[in-house]
Amino acid sequence: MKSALSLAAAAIAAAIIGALSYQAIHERNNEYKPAERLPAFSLNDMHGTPRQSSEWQGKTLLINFWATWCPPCRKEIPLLIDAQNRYADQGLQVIGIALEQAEPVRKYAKEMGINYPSLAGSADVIDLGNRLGNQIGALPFTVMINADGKVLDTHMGELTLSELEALIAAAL
Amino acid sequence: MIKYFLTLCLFISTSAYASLFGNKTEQLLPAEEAFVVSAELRDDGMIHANWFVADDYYLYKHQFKFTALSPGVVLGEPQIPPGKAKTDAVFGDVEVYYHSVDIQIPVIKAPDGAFNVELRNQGCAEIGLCYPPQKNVLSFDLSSVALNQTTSNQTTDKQTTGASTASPGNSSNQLANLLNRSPLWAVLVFAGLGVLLSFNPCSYPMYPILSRIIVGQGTDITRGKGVALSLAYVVPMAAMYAIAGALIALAGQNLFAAFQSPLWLGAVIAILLLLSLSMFGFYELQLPASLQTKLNNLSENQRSGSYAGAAIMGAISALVVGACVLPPLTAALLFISQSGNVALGAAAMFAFGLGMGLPLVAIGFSAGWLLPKAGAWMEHIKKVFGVLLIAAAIYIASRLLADNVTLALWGLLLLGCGLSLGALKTNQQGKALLAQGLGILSLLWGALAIIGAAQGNGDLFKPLGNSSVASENSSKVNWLKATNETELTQLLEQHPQAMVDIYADWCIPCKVMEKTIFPRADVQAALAGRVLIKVDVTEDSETDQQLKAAFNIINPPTVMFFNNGAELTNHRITGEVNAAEFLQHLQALPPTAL
Repeated sequence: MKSALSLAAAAIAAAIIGALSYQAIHERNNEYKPAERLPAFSLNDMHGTPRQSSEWQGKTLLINFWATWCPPCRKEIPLLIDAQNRYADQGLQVIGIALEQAEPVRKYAKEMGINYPSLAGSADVIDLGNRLGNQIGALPFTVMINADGKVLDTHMGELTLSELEALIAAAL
Repeated sequence: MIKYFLTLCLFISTSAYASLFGNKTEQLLPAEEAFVVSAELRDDGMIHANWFVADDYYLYKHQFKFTALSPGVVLGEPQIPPGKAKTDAVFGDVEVYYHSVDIQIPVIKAPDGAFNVELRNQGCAEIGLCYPPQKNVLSFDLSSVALNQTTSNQTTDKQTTGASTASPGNSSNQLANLLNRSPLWAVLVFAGLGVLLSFNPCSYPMYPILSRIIVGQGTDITRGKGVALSLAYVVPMAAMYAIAGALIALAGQNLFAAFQSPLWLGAVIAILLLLSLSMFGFYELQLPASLQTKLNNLSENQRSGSYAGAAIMGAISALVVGACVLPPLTAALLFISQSGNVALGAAAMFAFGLGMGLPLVAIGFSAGWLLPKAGAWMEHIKKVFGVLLIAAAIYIASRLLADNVTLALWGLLLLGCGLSLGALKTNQQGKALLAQGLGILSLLWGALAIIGAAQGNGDLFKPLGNSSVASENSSKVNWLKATNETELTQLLEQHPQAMVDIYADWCIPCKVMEKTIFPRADVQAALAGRVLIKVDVTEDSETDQQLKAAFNIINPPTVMFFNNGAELTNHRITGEVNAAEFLQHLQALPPTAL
């Protein structure tokens, strides 16, 4: 009986150690840190022309990761077209980066009248998204970058108009 | 007393809770966790695939695609059940699946041996985001199925016991399938696993603890009392497992990982060693006198006290033994964590605990028949149990230590046993002579083990076996080689499911891992479905540096895992790991690339 209780004390101590070690491990696993600045990248646009990130240096960038097979992505495209129209003169540049082949992107861009550069790719696109904070690789994923190249904010999932306005307002 | 027990349980569960949920924000799942695929080839000649879909996520029916990757394999029209109608802004009226979907794919023709099939699926989350198509490459083997078919034809036996295996690396999927059939089935499977694991070395310390409680009751112990006492021990033990099961279901794999952490294991090892010291009579486990009197007052009568004691010991033994039995349960626990079903998790683990307690109840039932009565033997048996406790500690430590270090520890333990059995004494007679014989054997074995350990061997049963013997269980590793960034990228495009090992001749850990980890049969099995690519950066040339920069590699050894051509950046290994850690790491990988 007595030994049972001192054992209980030992077990409680062990449980506490376990809980603490869990926390330590949990923190170590969370070492992943998204980039604070837009990393330099090179991706083909929907016509197959390589485009470098340096091309848009000094601009306020709204980078939208999307794909034509992703319904919520398609829903927010009109909002992005509209944003490009309204804020272009204030230095905003929308860039669409599609996670698929160029062909369907070209078709869809024409159909919708997309008025901003559309890049497309596979592993490179996933990698760039991941570095910008898209850890789970889902779409749509939107990144707001200010004129100095600093990542201001990111948004996972479909944007509402007010969310988009808030993102842009913070950057301009 | 019961109050104390409940407080203990509550405390442990709440502290675990606090640490689990304290810093956990609502998270979106990665695709591999939102949509979990498992598949097996059964003797009806069809691949039975199941997708587990997390709550608030769904899969599109029209996005399923099944492709045979191996030459000569012909798949039939897949049988896809009707889904739930959904009106999609883009696709119009489509069918989707929530929670789970089963699809059968007939294998019309397949050559002998293993073949690979790519199962492609795509889905979204209700909150408005979608995942890129997932491509899961699974490997199957028709030969074992065909065999089953012929035998069942010959005997015209309609039993379906021959439901066949999927790929060798896929046992967790098989288990998941088994468990998926029905909750009752899952509970039964867990009970069975419990009985099996009650013969795990770590369970041995439970036997002396319980038998001391029972034998400690004196000579007049009845069968009924024996069973009652052992149940008083087993049920709280099972209850602890049930709590663990519920937590695992709630918290996913994080809790599970915590139980595997070196710190936790270290604490368990320390407890085992402390217990063993008391078995050797270095000290008596006792509380301060003031507390003792208080407790005596609380447990007014002796009888209820012994039941409460049994209950507390049962609960504690679950904590200690749990550290040992969790690794073999990995696949089953993953199933619980993926199901997220708290009731099922608790029920299954309760059944598991009862299964583990079955031999103990048997001891209780025998009431002194399986166990001799109290007497001088208790002193000897205490020492034996002390040795067993140390053995359990070494067994747990073996997961943290290199194989040869573990072997050295076994050797020391054997040496110690040999000496205490009187191996080196003179003028022994009678029983002592027998003990001395055993002692000499133990001493010799221990010495051999230490010599073997010094030579770098790790097998207690072949302490002097040279490395060629030791590698009987291992197979040659087929590496693809890449020398620069372009080659590696190309290889990864061709083989989207891959493991990339960054290696250098001057890197000792790389060489150790290459020799002792990658060729192991169990590692190979766990790596099935992945192409292994080695990048040699020995020269650290300009191209090497380019590659390292491109993949953000600091130094070898670095091991990267790729699913669908993208690196699982959270699963990168940098620095040396041992085989156990590596296997554990493989098990933690998202299942896409099985």
